[in-house]
Amino acid sequence: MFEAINSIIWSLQSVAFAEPKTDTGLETIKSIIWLIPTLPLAAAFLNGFIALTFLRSKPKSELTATQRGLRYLTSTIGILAIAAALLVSLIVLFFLIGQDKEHKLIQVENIYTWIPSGDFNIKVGFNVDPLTSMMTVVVTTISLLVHIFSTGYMREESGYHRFYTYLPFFTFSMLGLILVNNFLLLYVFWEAVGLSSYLLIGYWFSKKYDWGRLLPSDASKKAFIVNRVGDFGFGLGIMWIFVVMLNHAEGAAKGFDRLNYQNVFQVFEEGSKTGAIDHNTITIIAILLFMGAMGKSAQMPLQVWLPDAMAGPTPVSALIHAATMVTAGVYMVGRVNPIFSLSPEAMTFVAVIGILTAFFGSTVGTTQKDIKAVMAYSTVSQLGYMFFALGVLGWVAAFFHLMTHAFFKGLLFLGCGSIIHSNEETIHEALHKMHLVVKDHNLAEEIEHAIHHDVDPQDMDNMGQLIKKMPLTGWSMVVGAAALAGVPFTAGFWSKDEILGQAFAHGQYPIYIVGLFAALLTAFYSFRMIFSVFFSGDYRLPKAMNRAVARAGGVNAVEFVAQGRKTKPNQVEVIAKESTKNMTFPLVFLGFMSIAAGYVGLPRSIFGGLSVFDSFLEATFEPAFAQVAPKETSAWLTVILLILSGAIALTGVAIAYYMYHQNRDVAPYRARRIAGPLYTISKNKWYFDEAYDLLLVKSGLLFERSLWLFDRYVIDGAVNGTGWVTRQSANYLRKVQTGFVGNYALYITIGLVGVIGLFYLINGI
Amino acid sequence: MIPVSWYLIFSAVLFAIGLTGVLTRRNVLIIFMCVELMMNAVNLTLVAFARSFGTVHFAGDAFVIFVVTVAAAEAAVGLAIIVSLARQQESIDADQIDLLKE
Amino acid sequence: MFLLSTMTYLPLLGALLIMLLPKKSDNLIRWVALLTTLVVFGLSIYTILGFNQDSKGYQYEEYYKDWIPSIGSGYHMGVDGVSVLMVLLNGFLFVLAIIASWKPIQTRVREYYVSMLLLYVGLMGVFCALDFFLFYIFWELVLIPMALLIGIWGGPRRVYAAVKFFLYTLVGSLLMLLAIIALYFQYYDLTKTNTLDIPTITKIAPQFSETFQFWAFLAFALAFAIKVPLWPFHTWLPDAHTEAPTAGSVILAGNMLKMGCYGFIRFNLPLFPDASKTLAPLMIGLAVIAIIYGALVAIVQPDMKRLVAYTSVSHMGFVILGLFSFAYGLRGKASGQTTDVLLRDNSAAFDGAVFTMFSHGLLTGGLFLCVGVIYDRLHTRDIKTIQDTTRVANRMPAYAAIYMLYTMGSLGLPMISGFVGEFLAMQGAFRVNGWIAFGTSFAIILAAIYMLWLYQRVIWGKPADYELATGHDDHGHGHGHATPAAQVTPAPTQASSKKADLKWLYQSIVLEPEDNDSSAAASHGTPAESHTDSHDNDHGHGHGGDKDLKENGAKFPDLNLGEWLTLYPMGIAAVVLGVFPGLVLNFLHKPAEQITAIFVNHADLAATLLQQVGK
Repeated sequence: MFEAINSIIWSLQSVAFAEPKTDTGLETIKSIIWLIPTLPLAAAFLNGFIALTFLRSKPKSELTATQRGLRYLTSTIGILAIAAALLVSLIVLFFLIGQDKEHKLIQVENIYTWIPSGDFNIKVGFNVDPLTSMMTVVVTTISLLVHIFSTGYMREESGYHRFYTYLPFFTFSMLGLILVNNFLLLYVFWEAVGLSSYLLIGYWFSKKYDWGRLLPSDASKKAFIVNRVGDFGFGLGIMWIFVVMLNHAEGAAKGFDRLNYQNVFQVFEEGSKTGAIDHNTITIIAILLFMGAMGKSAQMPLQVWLPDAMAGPTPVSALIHAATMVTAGVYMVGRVNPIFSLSPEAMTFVAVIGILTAFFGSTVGTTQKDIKAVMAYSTVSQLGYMFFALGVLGWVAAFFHLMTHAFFKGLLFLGCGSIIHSNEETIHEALHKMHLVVKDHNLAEEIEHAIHHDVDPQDMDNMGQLIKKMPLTGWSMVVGAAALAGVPFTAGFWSKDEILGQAFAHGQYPIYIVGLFAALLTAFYSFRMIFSVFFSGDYRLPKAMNRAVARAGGVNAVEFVAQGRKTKPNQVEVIAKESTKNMTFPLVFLGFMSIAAGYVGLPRSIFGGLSVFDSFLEATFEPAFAQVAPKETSAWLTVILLILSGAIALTGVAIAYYMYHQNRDVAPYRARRIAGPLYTISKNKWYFDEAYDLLLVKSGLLFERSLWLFDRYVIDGAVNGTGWVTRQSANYLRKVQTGFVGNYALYITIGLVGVIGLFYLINGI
Repeated sequence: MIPVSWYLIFSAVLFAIGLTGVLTRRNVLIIFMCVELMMNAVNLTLVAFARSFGTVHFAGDAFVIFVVTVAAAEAAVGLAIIVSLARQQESIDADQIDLLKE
Repeated sequence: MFLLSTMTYLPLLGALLIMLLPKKSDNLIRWVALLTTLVVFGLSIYTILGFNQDSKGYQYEEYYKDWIPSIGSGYHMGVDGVSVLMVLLNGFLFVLAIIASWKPIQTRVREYYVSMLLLYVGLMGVFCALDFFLFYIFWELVLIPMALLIGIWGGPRRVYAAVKFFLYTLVGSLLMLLAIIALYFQYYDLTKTNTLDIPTITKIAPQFSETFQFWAFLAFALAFAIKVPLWPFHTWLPDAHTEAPTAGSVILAGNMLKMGCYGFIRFNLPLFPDASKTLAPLMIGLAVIAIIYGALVAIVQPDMKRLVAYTSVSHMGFVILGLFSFAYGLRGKASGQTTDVLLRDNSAAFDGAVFTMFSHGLLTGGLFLCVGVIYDRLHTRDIKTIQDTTRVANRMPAYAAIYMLYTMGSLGLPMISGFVGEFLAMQGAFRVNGWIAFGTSFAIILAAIYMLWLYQRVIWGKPADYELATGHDDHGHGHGHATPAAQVTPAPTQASSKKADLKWLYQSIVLEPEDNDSSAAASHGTPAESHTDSHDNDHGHGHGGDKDLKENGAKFPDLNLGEWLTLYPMGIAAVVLGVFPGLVLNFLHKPAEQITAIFVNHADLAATLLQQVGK
């Protein structure tokens, strides 16, 4: 199989580039790289223009035929632009694959000077190496699939065009983040993805009720602000780098870009070798930079925003909050590996944060009922995996997992979207029928209201047996979950095992064990989701709806039953349907990738040169490997580890099977009772939100309010007090002004006598 | 020749009389006349000084002419004010007039 | 040749013309004002295009030496890289301000535009004048029309605000006047000649004694710190902004605050190099406090304009931070003498400061215009009231979009102009001391909090239906569409305290219909109708089909032409500057070099003196 893939890759490359190493090829590549981010940007501008000029925020039903056409035009523009960007990225990727190890770096420098200011010069340019190239392909692929998926998912939205303005804009920002060659520009796009994430989480800003979850308008704000906490450190880190560069790149020519990656890496490497740059400085800079990664990639203790970010539309969760944007932190650490690798302390810090987060995410994921929350915590946990992989110096392993994770988590989220969409459509149609059955208009309204309020289309308790109704979604999600769980021979199996293997190879046994435990939990919760949603027992949605009916007091008026069970006239069938093709196609494609993507990075100690991923990415991590040479477990140990982690995964699946397939009505509750407080802590996400609310939000507001009081009464009080004193003293003094001319004359005389007296007093008589 | 100090003493007495009048009298008209008296006392000083020191420039004499002119103008304006006051307030008692205070 | 004078006095001509126009010709008056500002704007563009970025010193100079010979004052105008930018900003913002007052100002139109144009004269003059006497005239000239603008066309507490603004700034300028006179005599003592010419005095500035520098610096600094405003002299600003009419706020934030910063650049740094260095830590400290303090207090403001005013305090802190980080870097620096490599050329901090001045004019000006847009429709700026009245984003998407741009710009999102200046200033401060940058960096978190919270409440509305607010108007009554905006939104004449606003809201929304019974019935019927509405229209995932959109939209029209013409050009300008900051930064190289040269000369002088003493 891998041989086949390998040969396909090689042949593709030889087709695309007959002479890969000629300069003209390089020049051509250099001249097309700018297209990768610019095409989505152009699409975003175009769509934004169409949206603001022609469509506004009118609902779909109010649009004219032309406007509807324009509405679909926006999605078409988006899809075409991303597809073109994907094409260019692929060309660049294959070009790079064909290059020697020494030539795997394309630099497009000095497109223009962004900030020309004294010794602070920032020049815009691109820096394309294997890591970059791999990331652009992953991002554009997932983005394209999400664009396609959303044409179905967002079909009925009145803000369809708005969505297709934000989505290409995000893609632009993400691609910019990956491609730029400069720390400050990295920061720029870092913030730009933050903005698009903010806009997309807040897409449904007018939502008033979300079944107890944080509302989009709050969640988006939270995401941005928590990210800013990370950026606080990131920005300081960049400034510090600049200062170090000033100290150590003195004789540089005018216009020298002191934040350019290559310049910085060179100075840091030399400075650290000669000892000119203090080791602690490097450590602190690395940790400051990592703060940014902690924010963006939702690492503890800044992970709180990501689960709430699920308030955005589900395709957005798939693209931004699972597959691409949240991996920006991982990308950044990988990109800055020449600095990070200089400081073992910083790497340990990264590893500890990573493993903590991985553990945290997997524990919380096991108890969530909301299908998207499970996936969100799973993402947190998997990002933790990537970070501890980086921390234990498994550079390539981290990015291998990043890639496979992008595919299978993108798949799982899009699958969730498909399920939620289907559930919503199902409820919508059932309610439509209900209105025909229930004659009493007010009662029907009550029932509809109750169902809208009670029946959460994302709650796994309301699902079951969906595999029969939605086979394509179901089976592709099973593949995705298997990959997430690390079931043998899926992509996730290979990548997760490589991470654990790296932890083992570098002798980080505690991390290895915690990682293994987290893997067990991961397997458990992913299949918990699969079994509760797609298999186990019966279809639960009608039951949940009936409960809501009972609450609304309409028990006899209507009853919801599953498909094909209708016997009485007051019964309404609840018919779940598979999603449309534009939604299932991305799922199936990603399902394929969730298996296939694993075979580019097979363990090298067993399969040797077949591991093209390793050899491709090695060029990027050359500086890191120069510090600590890559380690690998020997072949037989690798096999043992593979078997061990496969067994762990299967154990997790088996537990899930027992609890959620065989005994879904009993086992979970029994387990909950046994776990006791552990369950409560996990269910409440370790009480992070509550703690922050108390420590930062509430007390912060208190502090700010008292500061305002201080402003009004002390500072402004002093100002107004001056005025008051002036007025009061004037009030007293004005009594001298009697208005009688005689008095004034007297004052004049007294004054005159006084002056003359003083004159003589001083000068003598 | 009469020494200049005699003139000065005389004008000082004149000035003091005027001042006392301004300060003590209530009738605005009398106050006004006392002011004129004070002014004339000053004029006298000026002329005396001019006579004893300033033979060349006639500065003192010129100044006296100035003061007299101003005094005439002032008298015109002042009397006008007094007349209008008398019409409006029906009194020319300085203690009754405190319009400045308002 | 007389470009600067033309630009300065053309508005005066416009004002005279307006005074001569017949009384009832409001529109004609507006057009005259607009044309005047447009011509001046055109001239300012011409000026900046013809400006040579690579030459030192002043350009477009006009110098009539014997203007008032008895005090040595000449008529001297001229611009350098900093002031030419400010002139352009003046030109741009005044055009927008005139357009922005087109509809909102309906009373005493003639007087309003005369005041505006007089203000224009003052502001242009301040940035062009190169003679202390002339400068001081313009400086004070600015005060009067602005106080009138606030005091006549302002909000409920306008008189209080106007008087406070006037007196507070006057106190500062008096001290400055004192310092100018002291400078005049110092110059006389040193050279036995009289002059008030700024460049001439600047030339011998290094010879001033340190004590004199110290006190004169403080006197100047107080005047400018009040104008900037720097903590703790900032309290006039929220009041003035809150009460001023929209265009007044734009000019106040956009141009008048820059007068203070400009003063620091033109006078404090070059005239008192010693004192600048000695007192730099103090100024940096105050700036850091201003940045954090302004941001913290902004978070809890209930009034939109007051909030934006406090953000101004925070942003202007960055200007002072940049300027004095730059000055600090020039500490003990003589030519050929090596100093700390970090501070050898900290002109980036200077660039950051001036860039922040420029971009703050655009972004905060834009934010005030945005507040004005809401205010014109709702007649309130109370955030809670707006939130409870309507979901602006649904009704006014074009407005929501541009507001987002200003929000992001103001919280320092890169690629919008705000970021560049702030980052440059912060890295300049980092070179002085890392902890300063650490302290100010909190502002980037706080900025996100106050701006996003504001945006959420004002634009995205509250997380609940607006049934009550709009339901009764249309359902069953059928007069909803005909209801003019004025009826629904009478201006609250009381102080904009929350209570009064809520009362007004209650009256306008709940008590307005004739019969309470039918309104109750209607609101009962609302869910039924609207629910089916939201079903047919928008049964997507958002459940966001807002009921009030269709029915009440007419009362909240999206941006009109005037608002488009003001908000969008300004936003585009901010983005262009964010992407190509070089457009502005390139003007600043020479001014920074010149100030550096003064400091270096001064240090050289000190070094030679030291040598002589040694011998």
